[in-house]
Amino acid sequence: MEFLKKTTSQTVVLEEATLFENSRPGACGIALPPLDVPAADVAKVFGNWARPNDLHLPELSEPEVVRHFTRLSTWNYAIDLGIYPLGSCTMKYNPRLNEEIARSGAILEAHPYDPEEWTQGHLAVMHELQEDLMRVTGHPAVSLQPAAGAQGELTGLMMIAAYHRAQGKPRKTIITADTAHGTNPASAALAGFQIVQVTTDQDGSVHPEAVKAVLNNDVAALMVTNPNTLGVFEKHIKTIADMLHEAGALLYIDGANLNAVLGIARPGDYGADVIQFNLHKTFSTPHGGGGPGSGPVTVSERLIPFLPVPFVEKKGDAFSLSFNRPQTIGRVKAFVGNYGMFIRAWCYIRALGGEGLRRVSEDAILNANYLRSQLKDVFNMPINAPTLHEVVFNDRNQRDSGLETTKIAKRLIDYGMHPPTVHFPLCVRNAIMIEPTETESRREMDRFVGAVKEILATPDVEQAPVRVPRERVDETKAARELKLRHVFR
Amino acid sequence: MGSHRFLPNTLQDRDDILQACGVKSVEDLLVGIPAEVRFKGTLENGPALSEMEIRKRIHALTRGSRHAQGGRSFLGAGVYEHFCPAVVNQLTLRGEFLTSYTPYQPEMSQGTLQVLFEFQTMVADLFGMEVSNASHYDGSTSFAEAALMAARLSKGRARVLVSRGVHPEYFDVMKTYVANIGIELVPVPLDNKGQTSQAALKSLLAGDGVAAVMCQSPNFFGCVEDQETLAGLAKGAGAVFVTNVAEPLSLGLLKPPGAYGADIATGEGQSFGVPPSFGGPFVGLFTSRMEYVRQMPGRLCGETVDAKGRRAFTLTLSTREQHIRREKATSNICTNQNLFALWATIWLSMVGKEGFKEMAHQNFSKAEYAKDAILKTGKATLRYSSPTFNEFTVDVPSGAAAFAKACVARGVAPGVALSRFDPNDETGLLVCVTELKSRAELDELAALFKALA
Repeated sequence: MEFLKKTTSQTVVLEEATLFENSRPGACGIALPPLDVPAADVAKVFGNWARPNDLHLPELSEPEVVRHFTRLSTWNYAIDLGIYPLGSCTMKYNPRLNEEIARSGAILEAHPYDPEEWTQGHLAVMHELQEDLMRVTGHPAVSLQPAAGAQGELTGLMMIAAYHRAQGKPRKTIITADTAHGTNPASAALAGFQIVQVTTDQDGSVHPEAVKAVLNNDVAALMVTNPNTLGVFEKHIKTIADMLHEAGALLYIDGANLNAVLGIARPGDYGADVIQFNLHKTFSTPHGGGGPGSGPVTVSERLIPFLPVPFVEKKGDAFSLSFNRPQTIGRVKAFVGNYGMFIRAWCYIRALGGEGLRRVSEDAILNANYLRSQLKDVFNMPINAPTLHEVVFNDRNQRDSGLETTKIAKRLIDYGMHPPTVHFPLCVRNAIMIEPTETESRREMDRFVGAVKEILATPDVEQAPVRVPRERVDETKAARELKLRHVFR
Repeated sequence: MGSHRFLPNTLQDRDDILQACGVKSVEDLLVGIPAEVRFKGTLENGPALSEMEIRKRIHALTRGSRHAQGGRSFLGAGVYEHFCPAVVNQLTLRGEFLTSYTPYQPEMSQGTLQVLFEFQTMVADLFGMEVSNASHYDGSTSFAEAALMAARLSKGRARVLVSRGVHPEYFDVMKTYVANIGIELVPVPLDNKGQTSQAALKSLLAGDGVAAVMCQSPNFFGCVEDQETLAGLAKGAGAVFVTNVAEPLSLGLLKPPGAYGADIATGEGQSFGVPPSFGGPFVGLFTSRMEYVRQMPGRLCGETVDAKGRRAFTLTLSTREQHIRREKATSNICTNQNLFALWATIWLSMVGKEGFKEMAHQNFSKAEYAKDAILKTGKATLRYSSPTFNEFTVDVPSGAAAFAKACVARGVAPGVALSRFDPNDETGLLVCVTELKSRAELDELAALFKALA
């Protein structure tokens, strides 16, 4: 375990109780100025609508709160600490300027119902981002409103349903691929569709024949991630798009892997009718431990009438929110969308410019192929096709030594790095899906490769992880004996 | 293009990588993309700007913002300006929280997971409900998903009665969510006190097939609803009772949903010190009875132990979720709204039990003071007689939008003109007063009514 010793050291991590265990009556973290108007009478105004029971919010001083959360933060792994090669999650560095600007007074204090005199700048940023996103996908229209990638999918699918209704021929089926994220079928179901799944070919792409076999006049659209979750560009996508359109169906491209094709291939050019962005992936808005996301959609001419409202419109030099889309599916979210994320994505795009965005994809592809080149001799590669920003292996070569995917993943944790996505995509048994992104240096990728190789060379060690504040977590017990909150005595 | 500050690969690194891959150029790595779909142009997204240039641009763009202009606002309507201690912003900037992913690997995400357990505990306690999820996109989508969950709970019933007291944008979102899945939304009008009409509700409940009754309190117009009676009517007809708390600070003073029998209660956690940020990102709250937990949408964090028997936390009941159940999941939602669940958790622990009650009381007292001061000018009348928390509706006979515009010219947004939501409502103005406003500012608002209304 030479590599482990050379690249890590073990340090003390402090234990920390919950807020409720730390709470002591009489402590308080804030002070409000004294009430400068007469105290209103709660009992008189609200009678028995007043709160009868007391709250159990914790009572803590400011330093105690700061220590609590700072200690808890040390129990987390993060991109700021090292490589986070989760396939199809695009865990790239989040530039700090974006965070600083999104948290400045002009942005934070803007109320969604502020008069337009005060919001011209905010609307201008949104308008510019709308233009930016259309340039990236080659589509003629956009909605920034969806709150996350999954909601972008839902929005796109609802527009597809509305499109077919408007044609006078409602259609009920969505074709998905076996490489799809779980959100695809779940979003389709929520938009009222049933699912037919096609199987990806051995060469890593969906074959037109497979689509043809299930294509009929009840098919509303085919939904596929491109490049797909094998990291492979769907090589028949143009043929499939033409087939779909011929049959009156549409093409939904899941933009989860857009980071691979900025300036290289535009969905709008090859026949996509709708694509959702994940600004938290491609445009580096922070994942925040699981949200907020932001999932704008761009669409082809066919779907423009059905886009959500409102959207930002520019007339002369003035910007305003427009609701003028009589066939709209309506709102998918209150207000205008996750504006704070728009600001961050806008800053990111400005920092790179058009040429830089293309460089992002190139470096993402270079890095993923570098890892592929370094690991292809130790891992099995079930689909041997050219890959872009990510690469999928599995544990077939390791099975004899008793090292399976989960074990390899958990052992990486002891090397102080986050494991890749595992057991996904579902079409690969025991998949290990690696996406380094463009913001990893060769040094960091070599650290990852060194760790993987040492793990594979030393199959028999104690159950990992052990060099963490908590060892293997009992997930079965959590589900069987549900404890979803602290119980107050 | 040479090197870029976000990209560690130098030109030399790129060459070395190409060599390791056994290819000559990046083009050789793109062979999997058919030539016919390759983008032949260059992206027209402008030049790469330095930090200095970006700062200057954003500064120039937002010169007219309320903040830059020193404007004041009495806007609420679902987005509330509350005091936020400096600690919250500072702690949420810690990279370990900010730049981590969803806690799929619990052993390296215990920080995020314990925060979620604390969040769920505090939200459930404030709402008086048995269980809270780990958060949702925002209040509007929480409420829409509550309608879907209610329909799942009352199998075979497809009508959902929604009070007109619900935020109109929430109603719109719900309309979009149910458009394709056979749920019918029926609005329930308000009575002349500004509360959900019990007579109308009774007659709508007399028909069969009502899955759920959905209300909001305080409602969009600021009125506190008679939730106990509404819940009783709903349950009498076998319907699920769902309530939304768009301003959960009100729970410092008002009876929580669990105490009046709500089956599902949602809310907007923006109120917990999350900045208005032009409408998002916020944090949706979603609570329910424990018996319905397997029908809840979204992430749940549970307590368990690790291999050494020490307390640990993990995401749980994921068999409800899309990554396991795919089209049979309870929702298509993927992550929670984690960074702002963290924000709310830190805010609630700073404000604490006594601070929360005091802040709620200050909101109430200041709003009552402002209400009196405005009415005393004789330029506006109170639309509804119902009790209110920190927001109330007045009628400005001279026209609410024109009055608001005149005030904005003097640097004050006096409230939300309701013509924004209903063009026929020319006089309604929704005024919100929080702890951030001093008595002098409230007197100034009243003076504006006197001078301009």
